Amino acid sequence: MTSQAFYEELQGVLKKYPVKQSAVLEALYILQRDKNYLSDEDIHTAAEALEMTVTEVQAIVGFYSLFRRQPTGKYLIQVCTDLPCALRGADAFYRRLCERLGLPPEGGTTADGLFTVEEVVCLAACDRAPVAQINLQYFEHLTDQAMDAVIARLREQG
Amino acid sequence: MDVTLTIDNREVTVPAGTLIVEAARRIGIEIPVFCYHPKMLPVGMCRMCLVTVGLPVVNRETGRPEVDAAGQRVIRWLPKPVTACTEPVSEGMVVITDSAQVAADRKGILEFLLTSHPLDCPICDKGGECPLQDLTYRHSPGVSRFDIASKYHAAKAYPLGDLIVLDRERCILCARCTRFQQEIADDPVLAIENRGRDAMIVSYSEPAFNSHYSGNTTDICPVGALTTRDFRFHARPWELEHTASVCNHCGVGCNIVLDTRLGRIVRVMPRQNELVNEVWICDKGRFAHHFHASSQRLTVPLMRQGGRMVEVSWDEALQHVATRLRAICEQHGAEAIGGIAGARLPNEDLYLFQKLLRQVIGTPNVDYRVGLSAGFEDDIVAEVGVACGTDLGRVGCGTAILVLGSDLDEEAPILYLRVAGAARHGATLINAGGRATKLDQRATHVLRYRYGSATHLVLGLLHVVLHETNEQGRALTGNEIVPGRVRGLAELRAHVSEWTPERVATISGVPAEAIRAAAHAFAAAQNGIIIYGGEAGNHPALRRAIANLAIVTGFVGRPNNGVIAVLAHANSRGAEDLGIVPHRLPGYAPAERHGLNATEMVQGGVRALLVAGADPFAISARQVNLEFLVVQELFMSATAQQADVVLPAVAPGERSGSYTNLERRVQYFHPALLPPGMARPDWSILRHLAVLLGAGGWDYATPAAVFEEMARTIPLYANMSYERLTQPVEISRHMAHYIYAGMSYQSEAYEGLQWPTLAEQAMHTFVLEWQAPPPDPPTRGVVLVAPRVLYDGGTLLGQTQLLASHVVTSHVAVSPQDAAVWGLADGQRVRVAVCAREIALPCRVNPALPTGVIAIPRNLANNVAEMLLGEGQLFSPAGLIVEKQQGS
Amino acid sequence: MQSLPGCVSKGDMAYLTEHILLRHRDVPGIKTIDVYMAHGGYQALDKALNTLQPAQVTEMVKASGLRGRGGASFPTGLKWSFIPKDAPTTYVVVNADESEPGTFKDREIIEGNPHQLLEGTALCAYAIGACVAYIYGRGEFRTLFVDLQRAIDEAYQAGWLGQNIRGSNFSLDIHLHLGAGAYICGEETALLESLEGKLGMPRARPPFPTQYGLYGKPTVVNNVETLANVPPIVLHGPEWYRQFGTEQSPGVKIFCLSGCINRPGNYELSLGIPLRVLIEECGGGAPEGRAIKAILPSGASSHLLPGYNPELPLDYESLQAAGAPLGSASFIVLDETVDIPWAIAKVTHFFKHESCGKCTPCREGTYWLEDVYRRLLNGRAWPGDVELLLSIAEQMNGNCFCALGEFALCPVRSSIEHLRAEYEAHVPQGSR
Ligand SMILES: Cc1cc2nc3c(=O)[nH]c(=O)nc-3n(C[C@H](O)[C@H](O)[C@H](O)COP(=O)(O)O)c2cc1C
Ligand code: SF4
Ligand code: FES
Repeated sequence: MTSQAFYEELQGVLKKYPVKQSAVLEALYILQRDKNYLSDEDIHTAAEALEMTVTEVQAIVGFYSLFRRQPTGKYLIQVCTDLPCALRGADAFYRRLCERLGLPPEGGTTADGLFTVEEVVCLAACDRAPVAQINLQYFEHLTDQAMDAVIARLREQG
Repeated sequence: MDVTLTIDNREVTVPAGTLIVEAARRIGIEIPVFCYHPKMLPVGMCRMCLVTVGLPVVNRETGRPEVDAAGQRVIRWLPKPVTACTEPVSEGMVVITDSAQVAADRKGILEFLLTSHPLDCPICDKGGECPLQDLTYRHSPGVSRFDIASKYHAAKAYPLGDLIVLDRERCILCARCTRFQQEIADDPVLAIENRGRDAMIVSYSEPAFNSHYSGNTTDICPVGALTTRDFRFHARPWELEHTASVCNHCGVGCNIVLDTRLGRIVRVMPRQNELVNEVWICDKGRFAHHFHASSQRLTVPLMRQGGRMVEVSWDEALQHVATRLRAICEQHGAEAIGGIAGARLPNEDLYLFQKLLRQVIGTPNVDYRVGLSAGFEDDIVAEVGVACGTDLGRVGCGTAILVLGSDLDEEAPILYLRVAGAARHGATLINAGGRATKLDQRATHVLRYRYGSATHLVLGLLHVVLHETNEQGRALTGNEIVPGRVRGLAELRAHVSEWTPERVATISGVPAEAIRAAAHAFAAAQNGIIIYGGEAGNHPALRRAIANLAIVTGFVGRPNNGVIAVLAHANSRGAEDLGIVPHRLPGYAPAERHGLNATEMVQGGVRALLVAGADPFAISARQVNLEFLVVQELFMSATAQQADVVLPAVAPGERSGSYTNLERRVQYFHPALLPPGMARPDWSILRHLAVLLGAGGWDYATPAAVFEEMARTIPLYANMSYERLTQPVEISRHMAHYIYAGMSYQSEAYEGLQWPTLAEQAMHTFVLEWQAPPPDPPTRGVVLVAPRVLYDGGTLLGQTQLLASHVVTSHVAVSPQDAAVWGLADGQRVRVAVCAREIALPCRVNPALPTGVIAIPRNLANNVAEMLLGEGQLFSPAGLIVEKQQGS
Repeated sequence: MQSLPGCVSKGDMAYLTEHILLRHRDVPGIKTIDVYMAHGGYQALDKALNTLQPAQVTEMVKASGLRGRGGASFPTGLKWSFIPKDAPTTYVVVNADESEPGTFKDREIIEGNPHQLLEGTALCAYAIGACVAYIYGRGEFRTLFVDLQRAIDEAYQAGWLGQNIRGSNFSLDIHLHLGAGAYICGEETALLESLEGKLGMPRARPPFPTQYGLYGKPTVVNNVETLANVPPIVLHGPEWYRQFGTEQSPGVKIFCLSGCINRPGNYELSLGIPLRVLIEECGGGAPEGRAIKAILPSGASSHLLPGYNPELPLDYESLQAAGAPLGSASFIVLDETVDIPWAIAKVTHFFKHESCGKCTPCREGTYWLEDVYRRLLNGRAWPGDVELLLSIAEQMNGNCFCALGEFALCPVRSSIEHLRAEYEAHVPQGSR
């Protein structure tokens, strides 16, 4: 994203708040959107735009788990294995998913860089377990077959 | 309002709002803390201070406390323990700190802290003065139930910056360091990254941990997590000797402790003086002590023989000096001799210096204004300086502070903390300057004037104060100005009538409304302080205008009112007081015979020159054209290299003496080290010289004897003595261990003594003299300014390797707008020329500068700025050529 | 009375005839403003603007007995009444952080019936004199919030938000704000910090948000479900609302049912109905007719309710008396096949993962608890580990900075108290 596009989009966000700093999460989301992670340059951009120090912005990035400092696969698959989901087979579902993608049981990124798989805590969709978010979009009532279908579709999209 | 409560069955009465932890300490009950620090807002994070609290049950109808059958107050116990560090006391509160429950809670918290602590006390710098260690001995379980194999592991030596190292395993996440940087230092460059047990302290500023105050975090860190590169692994705390001293790097005069081991300084710590530095020091004060132990120190007298410097005995050297001086005096008269002393010398030495020249040799040529001191002096503080009893640490709402032409964060760092702190506590802060400075963020009013128009700006303020009324229609002049005590008010009012904000606006570039608002806000306060520095210029009319403003607003003669001049050196104030200027004698008595000033002396006005602790020939452009030059020095300075005789002097840590700080506070310092080789204190050298020149009565055996004479002969210093300067004060002794978490000893605390200003005398009459301002500065063209910076590359600082990378290298700072116009980018070379002098330096684009202003910060190692501007000029008139150097 | 929605006589009926909160289940398309308005939408706001003083709205909410549905169950009208009357600036902040494991009710309201939330928010703003409200959603709700923003836009267009709403002198802007993955930001003061762009670490209380809230201004923080209750209360009156539920726990509540249950989901019921209705009639019991071993009635932070008492009335007081407060009413069912230490290890991991690190007992205690659970489940337990768990919990108890730390120890302590044998079974033979 160009810095001009960023500033333009940020202007809309800043209007919501009486203080600039309130927009920091949204600014980081914007910067992270295209590539699934935040580069050093992004942190600087955010700091400058919001009149914060780089250290303060970095602290924010470190505190909130949806921000990443490392690239992930193009599709970030986050499977909930928290208690309510686990009671409905999420642990095993997760392990099988990793296996089918050729990943170690704890998850990771596929060799083609397309998928990163990781376990997360509750996603507020326990009634539709097993659930996953792929780039923050919900996929619910998952079965192995359903998941395979989703993955196949994403592979096709590339 | 006072509140009475009971702590462990003992009653204590404290002011309302006091925290339980402080109330307990009043009666000697120590509630253990980690995150709490009395200088910062309480956060209640570590939970070490949990106590049981009960509140009296109050009868709804009568409003009285309920009593039971036995006549005891009925107490409702709070269901959960309370953090004593966050809870203010209340009437009738009952606090229990000595129960089994409280002991269990403390034990629990300590056990938690230790589960992820490495327990590497034997190799830890904090070992022996570590609150965690101490409290563990006192309150902890003694055995660990945590699986050692699951210990949290993290970096043991994580550099937070090049000065401070973090041991992440030892950190207990009390956030004292991050809060200090945020709340007190105004440099939020430390933060907590990640969550939960993965949380850690980080710094990502560039350079990392970019702050002048970083060392303080190591003092307040309650474990061995933060250490300075300087002290790390250099000594165990119990091997240290401690000497109360005063920092000699700027005019603030921070109280410090020199911690020595085997005759060397291994650590400098702050010493509490609530009136000066509270419990802080800046990094220069902390780290720039290495000059003491430098191998470059002069240790033997040197004499020029056949073009070479050879080592000689003191006798030989001093005899030679005496002989030559006498000869020159006889041949050309005493006025052929002059003396320049540095404002770093203690009072005793300065006093003898001028006495030697004036009384023994008989010459009026005395000055201190060279180097950083050139071009900025003060002569109004003696009348309208901040009155005795002023405590910047306690001002807030109701006080207005006007800072004029000074970048405090660079020039007087701890004064920055105090002024910013006052603003934090509600003071009105007007920051007036030619460029953006760090203080702007705390300011309620920012006035950005055109360089050269500070006087006009003050006249504009005076105009508003003298010609306008407030919303209630009342005059803005202070109630304090008793007509009988002020002369010239009507005349002054008439003079300033033409200096309307509108007119001043066109000259200074400050909007008229901003001038008006600032003047109203300033005058509306109950107390007012004006702090002015060199970037306002040094025109006598400016000083007069400042004094007039202080007087007509009534901000004189009372504590927390008056003027502070941000002079450059540790004892610049002393130099002014003691008449180290050619036109004044000690105690501000006018000299009958005006002598030559430093520039005149150096430019051939004298044949023989005595230099003590100054480097007047540092600017390489300057030719030495003297028959005889004597230099008392620590190092082979540029001036010493040209000298006929070089006399090795001792450094501050090696002697005792006194300095007078910016607020006129005279402070004594003890000797901590032995001098190297044959070096002698300056006062002693001067004394010997005087005796050899035939002076009588120069039998001072110690600096105390000199000081005693000063107190006897100079009214300002009347009633002062070393004994009174070192009167122990009731500091929060019992708080020491959490004020400086890392201090195993009780440091001595003195307040020193302030000399009273004329304004404080009941009978003093203020004369509102009018002086016309300098010509209006040009509104076009480029101005070159030479701001003072903390890390200025001076000789003493240069001896501290650790700070080498912090020294501001010579560059030309340019505003982004100008850079665009001139096609300049960071690092490209830029040519600057003023009146036939020119220089090419790398450029740095700096958004703090307004357009039309370029800055070459003062770097004392090469004095580029002085060379360009001429010494003593803090900014150029216009007529400057700036351009991108071809081929860069 | 008969024409009012959900009107049933007390005690007769477990189910409501109509949903009051989850109205999208009865009225398809109510997420659009047209349908919402066609079914009485925004009439409560209209009524308030035309006929009620702000204080009267607060009084109605007070009289209804509505309590906060975010977990702490604080009386909502009382909270609103704490806002200083003369405060020049106040805020409403809607807590849509919904991150408690086992909780997914706010999500359904936002997805299905967003205008009712917006109307409730507007009523709250009107009552406390706020002209700006923020809805703070967990970061994972990004896609959901796209639709919610659409609803907001509709409300602006229809004149129910914005300047001088419907010609009154009441103006309101509602802004959406997304968090970024931190459970602690559901805690109201941490939420406010986060909204201010800081680390989501809780603030010391007092001062409470109603005094010193967002940007230091008096602020009401309410849960999504709480506010969704407000329009029907204002429209039909507190007496109507009090027909539902019990004397002390009036009204309706959405119960989130998850875990070992045939039909997991949200069920909107009158407070006080027996547990049997929720588990059996709504949820269809545990899979394959298995027995229920225990229930966590308020998500991960529950006290464990051992066994299954079908007649237990589901209201605040009865659950409190049973030792497991109702909280957000997120019922996680554990059937006989579930290994309790395994389940509690899961929630302990959750709290360790989400501890913000501000205070010692929570930061270190959750880390330590998880470590002990790990070795318990690995078959490497030390003798005395069960006692150790209790002791760690005791050292956290009452000593943490905010409730998260206290939450973490509830399932640990209560599960050991009730089902200790399951723990002992993990301690190797001979070392007991
Ligand atoms: C750790 C923690 C997490 C919380 N999470 C939520 C949450 O996700 N949603 C919510 O509405 N309240 C949550 N709460 C409760 C809020 O602090 C607060 O009580 C609530 O938002 C008040 O709204 P109410 O009165 O409408 O319930 C949480 C509290 C704690 C201590
Ligand atoms: S502020 Fe000045 S006196 Fe204080 S420590 Fe720093 S240099 Fe020394
Ligand atoms: S919580 Fe009181 S000292 Fe840390």
